[in-house]
Amino acid sequence: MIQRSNEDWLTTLQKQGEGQSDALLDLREFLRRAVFVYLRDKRPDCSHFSFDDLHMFAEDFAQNAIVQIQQNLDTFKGQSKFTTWAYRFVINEAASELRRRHYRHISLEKIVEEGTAVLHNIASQPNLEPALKTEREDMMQKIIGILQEDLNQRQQQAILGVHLQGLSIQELAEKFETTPNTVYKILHDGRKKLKAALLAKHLSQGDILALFEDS
Amino acid sequence: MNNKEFTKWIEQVYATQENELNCEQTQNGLPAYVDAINQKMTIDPVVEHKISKHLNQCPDCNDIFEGLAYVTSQEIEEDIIYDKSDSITSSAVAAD
Repeated sequence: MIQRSNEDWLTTLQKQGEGQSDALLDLREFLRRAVFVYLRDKRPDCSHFSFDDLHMFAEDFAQNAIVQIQQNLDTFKGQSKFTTWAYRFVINEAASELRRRHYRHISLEKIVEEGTAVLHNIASQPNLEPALKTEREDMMQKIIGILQEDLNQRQQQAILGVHLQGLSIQELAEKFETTPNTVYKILHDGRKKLKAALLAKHLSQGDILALFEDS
Repeated sequence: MNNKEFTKWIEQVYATQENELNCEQTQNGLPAYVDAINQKMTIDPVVEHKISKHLNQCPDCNDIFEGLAYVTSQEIEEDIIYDKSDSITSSAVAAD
């Protein structure tokens, strides 16, 4: 296999012919190996699969990534190594599929209900001194109050789902029938409102952490 | 969620900036960011700040970052180009 510069990759992949076929085969092999290593070493959720299975998944992810890379070649600006840019597609492909397998399939209504319950549970853990327990519950009630009064429904669902219940932004984007970018914006707007409301009540990060750390 | 995760969430809330990169902007910047880290090059502090802030808030983008940083540190291309021992196949066989 030959070593290629960024320019070599771009020109050969863009020009039809034998050179393009060779470059595609080489790139596919890089992607296949990269995603195999990712699945094998960085994904505990894949540890129960055999190496044969992982090789098979890697083939599929690499094939799908090749298609996306060909469609996006004109967006490569040369700010990184071409292969690093290409690996992003295959890692994204794999991570996205694995996220899909971990979807919670929880309704939007349940996200708010269960997220609020999570916060109440944090505040009222057993074996706490009564005074500390009361202080925690008061603080949590303020936080929940802000979430319910200052944030709109989507912002509540996003914050309670992603930050408190571990839903992926991708899963929420599918539930909201929108893009991950939009979900991130909803989350960002929700966090900004929550932060501003906490500060308006003169509650600093230190005030809250002091109550909930070390127990 | 436990106390540790709750306090991390509170830290995320207070770390919120007025302007943050979105997922697409962050993921577009990741390859150059990861290359700079791997090559121990200086990263533009503004870019570094913006990307790291987003990664701290976004689990999906952080997944991609960690995966990309890992695979690019594994000398996969060198193994293939210079026809070194097939580390993947041999490690797979050894592990099997």
